[in-house]
Amino acid sequence: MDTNSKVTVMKVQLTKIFAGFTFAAALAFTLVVPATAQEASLSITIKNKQFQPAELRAPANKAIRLTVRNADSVAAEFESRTLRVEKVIPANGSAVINIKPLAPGRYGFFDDFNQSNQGVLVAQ
Amino acid sequence: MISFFSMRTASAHDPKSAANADPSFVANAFVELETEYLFGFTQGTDIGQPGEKEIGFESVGAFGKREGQYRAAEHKLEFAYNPTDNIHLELGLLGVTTNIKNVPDFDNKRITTFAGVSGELKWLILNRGPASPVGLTLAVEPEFAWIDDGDGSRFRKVALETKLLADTELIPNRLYLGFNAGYEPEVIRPKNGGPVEHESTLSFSSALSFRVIPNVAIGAEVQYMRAYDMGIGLNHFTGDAVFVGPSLFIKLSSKSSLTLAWGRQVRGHSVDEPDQRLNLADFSRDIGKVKANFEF
Repeated sequence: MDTNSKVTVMKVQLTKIFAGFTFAAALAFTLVVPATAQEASLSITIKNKQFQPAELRAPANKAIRLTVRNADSVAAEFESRTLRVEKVIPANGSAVINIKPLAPGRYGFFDDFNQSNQGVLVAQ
Repeated sequence: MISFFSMRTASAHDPKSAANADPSFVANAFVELETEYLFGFTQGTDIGQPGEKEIGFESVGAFGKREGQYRAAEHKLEFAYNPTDNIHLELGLLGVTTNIKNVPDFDNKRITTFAGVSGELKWLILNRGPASPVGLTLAVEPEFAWIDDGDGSRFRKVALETKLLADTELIPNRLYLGFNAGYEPEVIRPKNGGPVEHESTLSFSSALSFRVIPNVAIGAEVQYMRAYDMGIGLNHFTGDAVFVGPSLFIKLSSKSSLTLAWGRQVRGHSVDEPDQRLNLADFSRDIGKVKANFEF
């Protein structure tokens, strides 16, 4: 085999290796990233000093992006010890709360500025 | 694949899911409560929410020896911050008050002074909730002090208290049970040039606390302590004591609380005083605690 042929074979092998790595990386991305990219989006509104709806449902073991809108003219504080969340929602404003994947169960939350305003997030 | 990546939960996103919500949802007057300061001497596992900042004042007193008048207290002004959802950091300034008169083996002393600094790291290992009925937290508290909170004498003390905290809700949001196990080695250098002392303490405590109304909880607590000297590794047992007493927790507002606790020694044994029913050589007859906490 002359020098040119050896170079050609080497190029082909390198191309195969590169293609292999690319495929493996794409496969890994496909398998791993969706697990973190999957995110349940929820939204809840505080209106007339009440959470609406008062009960949210979300898939268990999946990150949650919760948008809390405050339609009232006074600030609220979304709080939950079990969800590990405490966030002030300005009057007539909104905030996004990122919640880690949850085990199945009921997770209570409340407005710390008005504790009679309560709700529950059901992970199932 | 794109649709897979952008998949959202239908039930969560569908406005109709609101219709699935229980229309009979009723707010509970006993909204969830953090247990960190609920029990008294026993610490709860909760550490607050991520990003939360707190200022607290704590005073722990010891009262009564076999003879004379003995009152001593350590005060702590602390600032705490939670950088993540499972880490709690705290820095404290320590003060000491002693009022000792005619107590054998103690100098008469009446002082109130700045006494040292302390820190605390808490790691929330298990958050009490649907995933785990029991909360679990590890607390490590280094302390550097130059005034002895027991007799007001000048010295140099380095101590490292390590505690494992556990708690659970026997009746959700109403009845709580807490348990602590602690180990505290101490190295003490007397200011007058005497020999360096190495001591250690083992402690166990358990507490029940019941919320009688949403902002007030009353409880009972039992503590068992063992004292050792001649090393920091529980080397030479010098005595033990059991304290029993009540606790009161008042949630003053959504961001502040007050904890009061008292403990009376009901049983004790000292190696130096084997005939006595109480150990007043290593411990005091009574102990008390006041803690005020403000979150911002």
